[in-house]
Amino acid sequence: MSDAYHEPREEWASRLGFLLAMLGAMVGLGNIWRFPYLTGLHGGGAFVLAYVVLLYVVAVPGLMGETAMGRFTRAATVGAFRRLGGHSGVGVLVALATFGLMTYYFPVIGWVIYYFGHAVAGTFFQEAFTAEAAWEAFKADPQLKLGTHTLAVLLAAIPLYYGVSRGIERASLVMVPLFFAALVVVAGRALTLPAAEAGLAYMFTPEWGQLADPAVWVAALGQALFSTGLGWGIALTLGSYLGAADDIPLGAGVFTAVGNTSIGVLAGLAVLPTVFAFGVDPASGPELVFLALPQIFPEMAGGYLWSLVFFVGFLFAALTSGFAITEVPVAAYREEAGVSRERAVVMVMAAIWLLGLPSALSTDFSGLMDFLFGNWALPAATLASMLVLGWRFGARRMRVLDVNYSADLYVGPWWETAIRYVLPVILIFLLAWFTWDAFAGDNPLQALGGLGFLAGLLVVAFGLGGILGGRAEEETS
Amino acid sequence: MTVTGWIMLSLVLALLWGVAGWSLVRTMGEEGRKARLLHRHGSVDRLSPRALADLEAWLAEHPEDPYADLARERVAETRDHRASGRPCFYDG
Repeated sequence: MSDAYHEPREEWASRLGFLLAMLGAMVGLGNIWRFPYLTGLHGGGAFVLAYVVLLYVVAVPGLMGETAMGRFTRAATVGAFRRLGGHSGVGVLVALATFGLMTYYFPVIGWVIYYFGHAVAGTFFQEAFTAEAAWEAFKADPQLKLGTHTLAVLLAAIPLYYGVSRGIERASLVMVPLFFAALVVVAGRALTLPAAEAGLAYMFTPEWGQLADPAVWVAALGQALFSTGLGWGIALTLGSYLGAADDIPLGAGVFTAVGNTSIGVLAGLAVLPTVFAFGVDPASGPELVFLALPQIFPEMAGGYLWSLVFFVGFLFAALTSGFAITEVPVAAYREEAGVSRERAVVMVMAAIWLLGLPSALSTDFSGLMDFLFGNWALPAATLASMLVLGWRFGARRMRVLDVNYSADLYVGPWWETAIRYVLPVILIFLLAWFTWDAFAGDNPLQALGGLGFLAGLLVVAFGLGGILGGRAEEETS
Repeated sequence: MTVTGWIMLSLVLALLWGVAGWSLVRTMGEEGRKARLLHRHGSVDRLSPRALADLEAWLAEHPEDPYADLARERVAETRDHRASGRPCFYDG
């Protein structure tokens, strides 16, 4: 049973490389694109408060557990849950949820490529430029949408060929600091714009009544999971490359979750004041960052240079997340199908490209996908993961055997209570509350659609998991 | 911005930026110390006194567990290191 732990596996070249790779995987569209628009859609301060609460209560302990599962089993998602005594379907659910997320994630990377092109061309500084028109022009051009989506997929596929350590670590050592620097400068300028304080007030002053709206909490939960990567299998897959001497609770748990969210808040400080300064509707939806930020660069000294640095950094942050996250289904497919890494990359990326076409061509469709995967599939995958960890394998066993092994931060028995009871109760309660509220209110179809989608996903995941599990038993007997 | 807003802003900055900064500095420092001990002495203790006590307590309750051998291996690894007189990571 302990053999898996002693199996050699490609390991991280340096501690800093691992931390930056984890951050690079987490800091991406979830922070820069998704956090600001969800904050705008869900009333600002109440959403931020709910998000921070769920970050500490759900994401931090959950990430510690998911990373430990990866290191302990030294396997990708499907194999990991199987080794922990769970049904292979849990791993398939996680891999499918991640795969589904990637089908609309890459089209959004395509949006970033479009704006990167504008930044290079200096379009933001032309007198006739309006952010609204630039966005509408993109939406109206199917060839442009298709082309940027295709380019995004190709740009992410390349580092995947080089394996985890070399590809992602090397890229993250450059990309993460570069983007961070650009974000600090842009946020600094945004905070000095007229009406910036209105943006700050919107972001940090909760309307307490909104905390009684389940949609705010479910959106905050989805964002806590989306932005930290909990439930995607990223921490599990990246954790499987950790060595015996590596710390998990402080680095992979606290720093990754909290550090990642800090970048998201920094992005919020760049976007929300700009939104109010230029009269953009904060509830504009997924295009918010693209409506707001192009307007700030003409207001900055050296604006052209900063626009380049920002969109290069944004693109790289999105790509590092993209290829690190895609590592999850690639590793799972490679292990279960027994194919080479190169073949797995080609197959998975081709499927992401193909199934991402509807999201690339329609922002309404990508919005629907974000609702289904972000608010339903991801919490379900997280719940399933935590149930296997907490109840099937045993939270106490994982804590004493692996979480505290080489730890820089001692994790006490509270963690077992969090994994076994707190996380599952919160996840189930929030989903149930949201569903009930939708049925009781104006959106019964929305809830029905979400439930139907979830049911279908579970059937496929556990059906496929049953086949894979049966095959694994035959191979070992 | 209201007083509530400024309080929230301060709390969020402390809970996020403050904690992120502290955890980064601490983990890099600890991992650097661990690496130096490994480099100089060839081994390092892997369990803190509390973690060791937890693992031993669990092992006493579950001597036949499928992972009991792994647990014994890890307990012995840390006890042997401490008995060797070499510098300890967790006492440092």
